[in-house]
Amino acid sequence: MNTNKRCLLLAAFTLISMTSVVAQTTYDLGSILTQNQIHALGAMKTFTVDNGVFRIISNSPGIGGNVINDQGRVGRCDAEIVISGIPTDQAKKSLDPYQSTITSVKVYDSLKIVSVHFSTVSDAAKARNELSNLLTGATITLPIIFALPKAR
Amino acid sequence: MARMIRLAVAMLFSSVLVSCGGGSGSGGSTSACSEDGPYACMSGATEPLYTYQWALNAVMSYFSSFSNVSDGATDLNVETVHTQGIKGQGVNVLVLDDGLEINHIDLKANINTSMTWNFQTNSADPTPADGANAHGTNVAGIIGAVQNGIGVMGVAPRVTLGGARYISLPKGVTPNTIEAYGGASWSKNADIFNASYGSDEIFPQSYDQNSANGNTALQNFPNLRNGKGAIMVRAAGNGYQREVNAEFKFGYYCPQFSFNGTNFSIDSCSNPSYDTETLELPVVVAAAANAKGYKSSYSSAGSVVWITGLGGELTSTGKYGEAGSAATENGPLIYSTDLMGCDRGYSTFATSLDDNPQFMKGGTSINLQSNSGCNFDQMNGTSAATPTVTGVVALMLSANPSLGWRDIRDILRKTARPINMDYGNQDNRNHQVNLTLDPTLSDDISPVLVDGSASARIDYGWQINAAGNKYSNWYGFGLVDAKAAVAMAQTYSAYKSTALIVPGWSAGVSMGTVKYGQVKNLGTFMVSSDTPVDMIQVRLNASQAGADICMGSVGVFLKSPQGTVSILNEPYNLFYGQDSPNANDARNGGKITTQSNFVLGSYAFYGESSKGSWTVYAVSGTPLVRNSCQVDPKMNVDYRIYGAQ
Repeated sequence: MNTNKRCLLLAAFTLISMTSVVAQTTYDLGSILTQNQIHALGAMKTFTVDNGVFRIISNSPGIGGNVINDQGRVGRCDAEIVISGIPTDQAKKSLDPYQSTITSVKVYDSLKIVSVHFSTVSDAAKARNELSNLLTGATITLPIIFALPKAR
Repeated sequence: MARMIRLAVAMLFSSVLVSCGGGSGSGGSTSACSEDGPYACMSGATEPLYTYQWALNAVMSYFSSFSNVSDGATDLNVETVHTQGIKGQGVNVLVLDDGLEINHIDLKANINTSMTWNFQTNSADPTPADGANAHGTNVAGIIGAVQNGIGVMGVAPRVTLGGARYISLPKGVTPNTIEAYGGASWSKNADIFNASYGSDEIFPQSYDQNSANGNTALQNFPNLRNGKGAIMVRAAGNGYQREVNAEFKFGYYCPQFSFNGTNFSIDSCSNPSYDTETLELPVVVAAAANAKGYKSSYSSAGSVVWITGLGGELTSTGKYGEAGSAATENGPLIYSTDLMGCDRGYSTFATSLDDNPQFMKGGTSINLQSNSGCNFDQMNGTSAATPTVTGVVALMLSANPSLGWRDIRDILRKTARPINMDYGNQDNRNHQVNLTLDPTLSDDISPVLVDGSASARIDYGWQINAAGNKYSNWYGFGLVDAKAAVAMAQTYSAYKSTALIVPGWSAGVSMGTVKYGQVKNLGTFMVSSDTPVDMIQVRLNASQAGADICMGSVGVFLKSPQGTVSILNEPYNLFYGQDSPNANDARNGGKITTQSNFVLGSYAFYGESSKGSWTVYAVSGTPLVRNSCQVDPKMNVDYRIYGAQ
């Protein structure tokens, strides 16, 4: 392979990479990706919560990232689970097995809610599904935001 | 100087009224005045712009002599509450909005800076840097502008105000909703959360365990106020005839219905329940009425509306908003506080007189005479109606701080005034709609749903349910009434449990076939428990993968065991789409899949027994060809019922 060809391939690869990065960072919350756009994203990790299957299109460790639902709609998941409906002490104690993947825990005593951030969206989804089976009476959500409110 | 003289005259006038034992407009005793200070038990007549605040006193208002835009009677019925000295003392209101100018001359005295936050700057000062973000400052003034002889007066002029810059944030800045909704030190002491915002989405939203965390926080509102529970008052939306989606850069008019050569707009393009947070019980959804005493032209209608506040009409021109006619969507708006100065806010040197009165435009003679610093303005929308309701709730809690969140809802409901009682028979709303492409109205006015029929009524106007409660998708239980609500709060003793148990979903109808262009009985579900209904919700999913359902065409009607029919979703709604859309219009007919969990709710059955057979109908228009909707898709309908306590 000559130098020019290598340069051309490198440039093409860079362009593809840049396009991919730009695509991942510029999708608007709530927009629906076309099949071509989804195909261009390549293989994606998936997770299931209740009857919903989501694909992870970007993820920054400790921050979360963007996901798409079964219709290709873009949502934001902060790799956070929210536990309510049980005493906050009980909720905190239930987190012991997950300490290695938890980045922060916040207790909102006024609302009796515990918010837990994980390293990755996948870690959060796994913990959410396991804890849902373990904590009777608790409501455990993995918030995925598809829209932000607007002034009326 | 002139303002000082006006103030002195106004104070003298109010003093005379007080000493006579009456307030302007509605009368009322002040013999038991418990308020202190220079404005004790005085009405808002002490404020120079009070005459333009028709929502506080319509009969004495400047607008009362302009019969095209005002009936001279429609207001919050609040003045006698003020002249009793009940002005919101001891009540904390949090305004979650695009910001709040905490040093505003007519707000500052009521601001508690330990109840403020800015999610853009992560600081305690919510004052917006961008002069276009005046929405929250307006909202705050409607609730609690100070009675001080300057500008305007709020509905609850001695309330304690907090606020956050929470919406209209730069792209990529996501606020922490749990912190805003009572989780943070600055929000946890709020008694009332004012939410003059909402989600106006072009696709059906999923409501389930995985939605935004605002729903979780709202379900836990009963924990606030030391267990008495807080409420959120939330705007129903402004999408009755059209929806302007700034984010997706298109404006959309819903289909109109042709009859004898004239088009009629008889359904609500947007539905408040498309904003999933309206489905939580501690959220009081507020619609808007105008100064003529009927629905503001823009106010979204739907079966989760609880109450109606005052928001004025769509366009306001003339000197102060007196020009034009309400019949053509003109009239006065709600006067309030604006970002200070003529270079910020809604009242500026650059304000257009095409759709604003001279009062709003800096430098006009009227502006120089009444609003020379451009510190005040007027605002409309369900955004403006919402704080009028919030203000009334503040007065109720000031009169009786022991009220729990359910008590607040209950008093608002029981004291609301049904208005515009015959609207269901006006403008051909009582005609059936032919469920075709380019829909028309038929001559048939029967309200009965007939399985297989190609036409049906899509507006029932006011209804009285089997429990004797009047309900309307336009007005909820009616127009808020401050005097009656405060009076009931003062004598209230039937305190309700504040616990909120979110019921699980039950399987209702499985594999019901939707027939586009027809009325279709999807099936029934039996409820064995005998509980008075508060809200019923249905959760909709396609039954089969790959056979999506176009909810833009599908109306969802629910019939109770007692025979009341509620329209939870109208056909030809916001999701429907149009044949030649704007390039930015990505709507697909509102397709839902097997995973969508699209939820709708209704308060129309309030107080009826849950026991018996409930029937679900799909009243479906004919979808646009371009949306490629599957023929005869099957729908699963789950349900859950919140009991009234």
